[in-house]
Amino acid sequence: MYDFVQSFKLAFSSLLKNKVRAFLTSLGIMIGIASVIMVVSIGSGAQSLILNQIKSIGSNLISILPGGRVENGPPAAVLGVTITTLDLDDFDAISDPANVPNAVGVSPYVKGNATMSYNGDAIDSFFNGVSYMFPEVEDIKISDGRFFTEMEQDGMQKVAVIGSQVAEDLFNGTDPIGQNIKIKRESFQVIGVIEPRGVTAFQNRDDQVYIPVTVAQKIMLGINYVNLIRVKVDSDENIERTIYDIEQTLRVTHNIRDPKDDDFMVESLDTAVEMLTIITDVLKFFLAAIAAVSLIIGGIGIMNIMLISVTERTREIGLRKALGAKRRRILEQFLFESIVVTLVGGFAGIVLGSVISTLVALIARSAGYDWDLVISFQAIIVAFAVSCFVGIVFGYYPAQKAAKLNPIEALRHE
Amino acid sequence: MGNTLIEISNVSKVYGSDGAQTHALRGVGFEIHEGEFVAIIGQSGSGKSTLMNIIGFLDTVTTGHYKFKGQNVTTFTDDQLAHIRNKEIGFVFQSFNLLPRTTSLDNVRMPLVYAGVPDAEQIERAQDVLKMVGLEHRMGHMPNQLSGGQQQRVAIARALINKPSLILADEPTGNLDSESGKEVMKIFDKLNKDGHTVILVTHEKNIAAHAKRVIEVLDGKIVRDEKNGHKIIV
Repeated sequence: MYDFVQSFKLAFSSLLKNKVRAFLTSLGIMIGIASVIMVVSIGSGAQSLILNQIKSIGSNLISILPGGRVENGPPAAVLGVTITTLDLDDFDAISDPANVPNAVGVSPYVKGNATMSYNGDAIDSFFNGVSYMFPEVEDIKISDGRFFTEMEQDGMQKVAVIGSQVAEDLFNGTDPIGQNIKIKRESFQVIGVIEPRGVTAFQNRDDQVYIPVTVAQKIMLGINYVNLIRVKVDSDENIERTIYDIEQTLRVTHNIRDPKDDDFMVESLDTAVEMLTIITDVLKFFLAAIAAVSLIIGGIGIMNIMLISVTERTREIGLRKALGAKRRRILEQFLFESIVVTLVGGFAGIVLGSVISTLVALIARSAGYDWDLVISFQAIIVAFAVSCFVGIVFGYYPAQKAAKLNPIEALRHE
Repeated sequence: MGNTLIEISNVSKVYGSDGAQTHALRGVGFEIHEGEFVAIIGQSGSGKSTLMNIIGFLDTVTTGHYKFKGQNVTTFTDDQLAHIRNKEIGFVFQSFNLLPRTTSLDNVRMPLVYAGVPDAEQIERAQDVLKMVGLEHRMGHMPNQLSGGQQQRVAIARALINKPSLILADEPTGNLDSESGKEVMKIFDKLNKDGHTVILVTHEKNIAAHAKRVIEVLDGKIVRDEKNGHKIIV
C-alpha cells in the first residue's frame, strides 16, 4: 500500500511538472467522454421531443388507417399510393354508440393545400376536413367563437375554424369571427379561432384551417374517401376493447369474414409510441457508438504521448532504477500517470458533456420545444469506466517499456 | 583495516552474441575493505566503467564471482539487484543526474521513496544530508538554479541519504571547473575520513591522487593495484 501511494505521488508530481502536456493528453479523452454523454443526452432529448409531440395529440387515441397490414414491406401510403377504403359510412358506423360504446369522439381527416385570403392578404396553408367532434378528439380549445356543429357538417355549410396563426396573419388583430375568407375560390365564414397549440418540430399546428369534412370532400377535393379516422376512447383500460369493437364494426360494413382480408388498420397511439421509441433508441445507441470511437482515438493519443514521455525520460528512469526502483515501481508510476490523465480527462469530459447537454436543453426549451433534459447516470458510469479502461490499456504498454529499460543504457541515454 | 566489503574473483564480462563479442573484462580480481578510498583509473574503453557497473550492481558478470559483505550476488535477479543498490550503494555521476524541475530536497530523498521510508522521515533525513554538504539554504531550489558544484553536492547528499556501505563516484569532477572540482573532492576526502568506503572512477591523475589506493585497468585487465605506492598482490 505504501508503494502504491508513493507511486501515485510520483506520477502526480511528474504530471504537475508537465501541466500543458498532461492537459493536451487528457483533451482527447475529455472530448471523447463529453461527446458520448452529449450524444446520449441530446438523443434522449430529441426522443422525448418526438414522443411528447405524439402524446400531445392526445392520449387514449386510436387511429384507423386505410389499407390492410402488409407483412413484408412498407404500407402502401409510403409508396405514394392512395388507398380509398375508408369513407364517411365508416365514420358513421364507428360514431354509433351501439357499435363502439367507449368512443367519446370520432373524426375523419382529409387534408388539402390552398391559398387562403382575406381582404387582399393571402397565405398558403392547409385546410383539414374533420368532424364536429374534432375538439374532443384532439383536446383543442376554442379561444374565440365556436366549433362547427353536426348540423353544419351534415348540411355542408361553408364554415371555417382557423388556427391562431392564420387569424394573426389574415386579420392583423381585427376580430375574424363572422368574416368571410376565401379558400381556393370558395368563400367560408369564420366561426371560431383555436387557441395556440405551439410549434412542434414537424409542423406548425396553428397555421391550419378546419372545415366540415363533407365540405372538404365534396366541394374542395372532389373525393369520397378519408385519409384517416381517429377515435378518442373514454379511458385507458378500454383501448384494447375499443380496437376490437372498431375492427368488428368495420368488418361488418366492409363485408369481411377473414381478419386477414382487412382493408384497414386499427392502431392505438401506444403502439406508435412504442415503435418510435424502438427506432429512436436504435439511433441513439448508434450515435453513441460512433462517439465512443473518439474515446479509442483519445486512448491512442495517450499511448503516443506516454511513449514519447518514456523516451524523453529514459535517463530519469535509469536514475530511478540505479537508486533502487524495482520494475514494478516504474511500471506503477507510468501507469498511474496515464490513469490520472485519463481520469482527469474523463471527469472534465463528464462535466463538459453535462454542461453542453444542459445548454442544448435550455436553448431548445426557450425556443418552445418540449425537450426533456436527460443526463443519463448510466452514460456517466459507462464513460467513467471506459476512461479507466482506456488509461490502463493504453498506459500499460509504455509503462511496461519503461519498466524494462536497462539502467546502464538508460543512464547513458542523451 | 575493516572487514572485507567487496570480493571480486576472476570476473569476466562479455558483451554481444557469438558473432561480434566484446570482452570488456578478462579475469579481474581484487578485494576492497570497509573504510578504503579507492580510485579505479584507466582510459576510456579500458573496461573501468564496466567494472564500476558490476561493483554497483547495475550489471552482472558473465563468468567469475562477486561477493558483497560475504554474500554471493552473482546470481541476483533484477529486483534483488535494485534492492541492494538502494540499500548499499550511493551513486555519484559525472553529469549529476538530478531530476529537472524538482527541488534539491525532492531529488535527495528519492532513494528513500524506494526504501519505503515514511514521508516525514524522508524530509528530515534529506534536510540533514543537505546540511552536511553545506546546502541547507538551497533545499527548495531547482537544479537549473544551482551551479555545477552545488548540483554535484546535491547528488552527493542523495548518495549519502540511505547510509550506504559504499559510495561509488563515476568521474564526479568531469563536468566541473577546477575550483568546484576541488570543493567536491574535499567532500569525498572528508567522507572517507568519517569512515565511508569510497570508490572513484576517473581518468584524471590528480583526482586519483586523493585516493589511498589506485587500481588501473587496461584492456579489461588490472595492470596496477597500489596502496600508498605499494603493490598489492591478490
